[in-house]
Amino acid sequence: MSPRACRRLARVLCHVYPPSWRDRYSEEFVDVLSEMVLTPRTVLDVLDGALDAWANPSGLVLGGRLRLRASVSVVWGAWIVLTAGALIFGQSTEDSPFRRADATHPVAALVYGVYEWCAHLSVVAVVVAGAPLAWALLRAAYTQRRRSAIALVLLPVAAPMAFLGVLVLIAQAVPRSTVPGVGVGPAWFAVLVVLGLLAAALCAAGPALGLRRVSASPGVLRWSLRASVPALALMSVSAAASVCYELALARSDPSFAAGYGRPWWQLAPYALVMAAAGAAAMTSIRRGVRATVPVS
Amino acid sequence: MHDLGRWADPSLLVLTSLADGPKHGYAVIKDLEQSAGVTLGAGTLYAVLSRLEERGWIEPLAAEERRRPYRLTGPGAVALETETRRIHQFAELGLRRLAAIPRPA
Repeated sequence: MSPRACRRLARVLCHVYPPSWRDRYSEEFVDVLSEMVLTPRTVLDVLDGALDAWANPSGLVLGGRLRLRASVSVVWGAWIVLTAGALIFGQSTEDSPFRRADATHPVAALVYGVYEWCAHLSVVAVVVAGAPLAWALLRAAYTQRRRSAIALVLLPVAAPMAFLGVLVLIAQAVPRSTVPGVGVGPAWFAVLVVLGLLAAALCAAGPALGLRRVSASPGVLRWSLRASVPALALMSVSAAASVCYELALARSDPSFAAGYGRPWWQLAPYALVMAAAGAAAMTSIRRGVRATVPVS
Repeated sequence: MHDLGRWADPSLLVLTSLADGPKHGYAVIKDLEQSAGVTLGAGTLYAVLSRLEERGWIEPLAAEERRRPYRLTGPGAVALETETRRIHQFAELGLRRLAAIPRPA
């Protein structure tokens, strides 16, 4: 491999590291890497180092308040992804065949209860974690007369309300199918899913953009980050329970699975997205907490 | 140094290499290849350098083009001395016990 190609490959490999790490080390790291013979072992070593840099960030490369802000945004976004997944799962299993199956499969019913309770408790926990930060941001935005920031912070309330309004309008305007369990039909259901995902994206983006326009004290950010751990943990348990519920039903009642169960290629992406959101959030919390810990 | 976990051994190697004078990353790798027969990967090296720098055991010097040399600090020298003495004592203990074992002729 030519030195130029080596250097290009080294730059590509460097991009698996976190941006804050690259700001500090990328030049010298690329220089070292381009001097070495790039073997699969070298690449694996770089990936291992990058994984470590994400999971155990050095306090030297993390800017305290900026890192905290980024972590709060990532955690909030991940919670929205988990919640959207839980809602879609709930929507797709609320039909009566599932409830009838629960009556004959107590373990599945118990798992479904875990899914529901954890999801509800997680919403309470996220309100507890986010309310002080939202209040601080709204106060700062009001004091600084930043109306756009106020609108952004209020998006997690406004977007679901707007979605519910559209939902009611569609439910009233579109004739319902006479087939039980079909509702407004697949096309309108797809429209509702897209609008729901759009509302979820606005919920996630609003506070993150608001945080960029008005600043919150590190104390409030730190509280929100730490207090979001139970909310995330509960929603992760809820997501895991939802997957277990489907598996339990499919295992205990093959006839039900044949009629209503989802094939693995539908369940697997859901499980993967949920797991990825949980892992991203936990990594970000770790990075945020590390950024606030004084170097010993 | 034990709280460095799996990075403790490469950290000891890097500190030992820097005890010989300031070096940039690639020079540390080459030095360890020649002196200890160990080849550190770039990922491992920088995981270790960032930890040692965070603890104040090494410090970066002004960059020379794209290369940034690092040097051992006072606390780094103390940490290296403590660890190497501990290893030395342990090695001596092992050798004493080995010497006490009767060996077949």
